[in-house]
Amino acid sequence: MGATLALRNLTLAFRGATAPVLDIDAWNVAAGGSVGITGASGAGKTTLLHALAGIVVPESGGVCWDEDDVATLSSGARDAWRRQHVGLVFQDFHLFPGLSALGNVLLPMRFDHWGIDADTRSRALSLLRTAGLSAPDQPVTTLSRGERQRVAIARALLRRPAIVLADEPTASLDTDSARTTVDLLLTETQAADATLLVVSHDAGVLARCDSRWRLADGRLAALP
Amino acid sequence: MNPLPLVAADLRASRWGALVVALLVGCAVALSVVVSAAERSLRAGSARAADDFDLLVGGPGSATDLVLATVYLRPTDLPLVDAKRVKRLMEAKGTALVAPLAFGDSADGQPVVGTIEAFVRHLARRGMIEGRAFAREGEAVVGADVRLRLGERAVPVHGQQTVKLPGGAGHHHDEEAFSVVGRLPRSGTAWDHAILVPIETVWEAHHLVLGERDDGRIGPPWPDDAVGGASVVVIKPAGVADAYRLRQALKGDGLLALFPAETLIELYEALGSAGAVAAAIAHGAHALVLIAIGLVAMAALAARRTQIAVLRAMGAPAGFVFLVVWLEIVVLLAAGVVLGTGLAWAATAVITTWASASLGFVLPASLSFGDFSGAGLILLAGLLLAALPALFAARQPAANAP
Repeated sequence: MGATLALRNLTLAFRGATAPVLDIDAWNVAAGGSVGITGASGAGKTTLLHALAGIVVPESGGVCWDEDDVATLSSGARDAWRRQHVGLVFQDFHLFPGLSALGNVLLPMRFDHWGIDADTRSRALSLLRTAGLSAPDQPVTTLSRGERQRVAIARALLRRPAIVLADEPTASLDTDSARTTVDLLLTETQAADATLLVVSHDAGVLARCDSRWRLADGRLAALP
Repeated sequence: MNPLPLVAADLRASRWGALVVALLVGCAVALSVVVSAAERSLRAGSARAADDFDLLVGGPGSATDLVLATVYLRPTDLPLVDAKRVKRLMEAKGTALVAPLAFGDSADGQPVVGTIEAFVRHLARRGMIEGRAFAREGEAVVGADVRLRLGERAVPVHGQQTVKLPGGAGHHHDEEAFSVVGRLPRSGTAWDHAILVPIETVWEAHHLVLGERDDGRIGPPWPDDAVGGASVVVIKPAGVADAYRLRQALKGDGLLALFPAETLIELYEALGSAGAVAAAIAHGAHALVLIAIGLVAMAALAARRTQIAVLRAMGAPAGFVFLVVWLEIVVLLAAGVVLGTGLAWAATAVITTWASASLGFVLPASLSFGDFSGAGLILLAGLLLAALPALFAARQPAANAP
């Protein structure tokens, strides 16, 4: 089941900067939907995602996912919460080169499990199949860029996160790969009933989201 | 958590760099192990070589020369113990064996030593490999490694030649020609290459005696005009008290009398300081290797900032990141130590073989537990030092994630 997001009086500033990067009075996202966020470079989109994922802590305000206020959790608890609830997709995939496709997908499980149970393994394999990768043992260094990003999406979805955060997932892909990647991201998060927040400049990506927002001057404004 | 798959993957992804680091550690480990083993083996081997020689008596000169010439059969010019003194020594009380030795000739590239039958029997306490001791002039007993066969004849030349001269050039002692009648058991010392002949043969060849015995017998007691000088007289005292009394008495007689074991201890002390220098070099190498590993670890860490941040962003606990970095360094170190142990085995075998050939006595090629203290130290220091970059990595915030 996807998580509901409620931001309250969120402010976050970089050290030495005069204006805060983020200054959001209130923002709500319903569970299970897909939200596209766009904005100029340097507008703070990545910082917003980091704040939502508990990677950075805002100076003030709350980041509430369902009952959890991520901003108030201790560092260790935020790690655990993120592991449990968030799947991350990066612009540059950030797969681990020595691991196979399957090894990369299974990696998040290694953070708190010694062995991999049969259910998890079969979920990983089925995610890879859905992602269109027929050879799960293939080293990721031999995959195309589109394939790598799809492996990264499978990795983000492995633990059935309630929240999927994607930062420019198509920015380094060609048009065709971008389309199949977005298809996968949208259909799989929907199938998993997760809440998807995707930062993108890609109009094609934004068009396919349930709602669209622009981040400017630290504030979010709804787009048509 | 289970960081092992990631550790294995990282090492696989950077296998050549990893191999170089492991080799670096391996070389340092091998260096320290070999230095320690070689020094110990040199002590053991040389001490064993002196076992057959309790008390050495020589003309006034260098104690070290006397020991090297007698125990290791190194070619050295020794002042002779004159005939009169040799005869007197033969009659000394409190001795189990008195054997004059005459060095200086060689045959077939091996040193020829003139001595008496009793000394052959002393060296062959455990029995001859084949044949018997010499019983008359013209007979010889050879060490275990001498190439001459039983019954084979050879002619000694003056001086020690390790290389056979073409055409048999050199000053031949034809009257000294001998045939081999026996072979000594292996001692693992220079004496395995020695050819033992009756000392009378050497005396006559070098015109050290005027008279000759008409009965054809060899060995003591000798008539006054049929006894020559000796390079050294080996004495086996009857007891410990006799040993010290004899040494004291002989020293007063203008002779050099010494226990080779004692002289060797002095040499060991010199060797010991050489060993300390070598050990210092080895420790220096250890320190350099640890510093190098530290730098490599830090460089690798800087290169992997992003990777670590991604791990943290994905929710990896700090402990997981710590273990990944720590284990990778520890695995490299351990691989290096294993590699170094193998290298040390090989190097020790090569060095001891080479040294046995050039020193003239067998160095026992063994590694003891103590030889690995340096390796253990590297590993231990490595385990602790590896925690530093690992801690850096673990404390790196996830906010560096792109």
